[in-house]
Amino acid sequence: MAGLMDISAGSEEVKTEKKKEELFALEKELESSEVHDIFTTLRSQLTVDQEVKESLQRLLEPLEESVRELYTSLQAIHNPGKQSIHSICEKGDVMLLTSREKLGALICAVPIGRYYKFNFMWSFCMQRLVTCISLIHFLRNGTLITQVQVSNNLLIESDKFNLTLEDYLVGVLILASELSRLTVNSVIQGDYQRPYDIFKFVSELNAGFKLLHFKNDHLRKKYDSLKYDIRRIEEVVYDLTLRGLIPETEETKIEETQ
Amino acid sequence: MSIELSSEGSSKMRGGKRKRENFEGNISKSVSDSIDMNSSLMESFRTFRADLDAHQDKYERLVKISRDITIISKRIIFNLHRCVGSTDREAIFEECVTKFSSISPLISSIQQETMDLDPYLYARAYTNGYQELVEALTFYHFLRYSSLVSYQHLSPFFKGTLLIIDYVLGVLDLTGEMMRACISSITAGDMDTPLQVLSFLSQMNLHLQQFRPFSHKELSNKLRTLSTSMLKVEKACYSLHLRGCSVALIAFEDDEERDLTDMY
Repeated sequence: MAGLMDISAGSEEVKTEKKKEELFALEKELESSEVHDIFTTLRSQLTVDQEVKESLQRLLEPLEESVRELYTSLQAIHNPGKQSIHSICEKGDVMLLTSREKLGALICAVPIGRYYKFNFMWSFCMQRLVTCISLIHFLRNGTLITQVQVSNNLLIESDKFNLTLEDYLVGVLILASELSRLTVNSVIQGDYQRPYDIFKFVSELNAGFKLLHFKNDHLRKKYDSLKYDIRRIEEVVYDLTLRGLIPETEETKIEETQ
Repeated sequence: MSIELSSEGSSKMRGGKRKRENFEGNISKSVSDSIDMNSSLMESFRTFRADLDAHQDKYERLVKISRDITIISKRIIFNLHRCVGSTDREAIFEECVTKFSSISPLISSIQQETMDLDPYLYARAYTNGYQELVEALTFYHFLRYSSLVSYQHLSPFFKGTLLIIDYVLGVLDLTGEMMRACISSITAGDMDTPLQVLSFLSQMNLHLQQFRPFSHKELSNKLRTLSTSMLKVEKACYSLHLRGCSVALIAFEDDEERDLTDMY
């Protein structure tokens, strides 16, 4: 309250004098171009940031292109025609070489110690790569590839670049969606074993994801779709079981693991 | 159970929904039973949980500190507004200095939390607090010394954790405060502060508007606000010049009151 009352008692001569002096000092200061210096330095620093960002963008585009190609080529698993899943994976490996090379160029350009200033730019790309690599890995080994294995596969050196845990997990969740589609297509191709394998794998993934505490973020949204993927896979497995299309090994397999 | 049902064979088409759900429940159950909770996959998810939790906890802690900084800074700014037309500015400044020193430990904890980390990893958690604090510090400095304190001068207070962009955004907020100080000094019958603010603002406007090409959303929003603040101050000073203080007051009463209520 005291301050509010002070305002009304503002126009004293002494104060006006003081103000005039201040005004004079200020003008002098502006002439001395301190403000000018402050902003010129800041602007040049921000310009450097912007240039880095643009150069990264230029390197990112070919990477995105190659990842898109890789992803599209792997889509052939849903309708392989004469190709075997094995040969599709081999082809994926070859395409991965290009992606790895483009990623290498990007990694070199990321300024050290400022990775997280720019990493949102290639987050999507990394997720896709995780999906592709983990898909190939699953088709070959039936297991989940680890975060470290993906990093090694992509030749990421941890001191400069980083495959973040979020990107890895999102990539794995996209893999689950991909696999749920594959169950349907496996049945179309008369492969009744794969749906069971996928069901077991995704169920285990789900159990793993259930251990995590999510925040209300992108990862959480992706995780929410996992239950629908499982549902789809479950339905396929249900239909197969109902028609007695259980592969012979299945019962024994489950018993073994129990 | 599954064998039993599949042997029913033909009844499958008529099978009710409930039966179907039971059945599927069985598949899931047999599979979930078979999941080895100690497999390497589960083990790695346990590590993920620990990592995610640690990351989120740190982020939340930083957000909390940032919020505390914001509260104190906002109070300082309100205090500083009382300087306008006040006879006892020094007392207000002293009070502010005490409050600024109470922020210092908060900055220390931010520094400790982010030590040895990429400064951008958690920057988003405390950018709001820092902007507000830069605003308070620069406003204080402006009222007391009539100059803009530079990034280099502020940096030690932030123990090196202040990012350039936060400084720029804070300074842009400062221009809004200056506009308000300008208008309220007119109401207080102060003829010089408005002109002082005008020359200072136009100087800053000149430089800050050159930041435009950067594709930074927050920055471009604040630059737009700067332009409107600038226009308000110019309009006020124009009336002040033409009509003198008392008339300017009357002319602006309606106009500025509305603008100010917009701001709150």
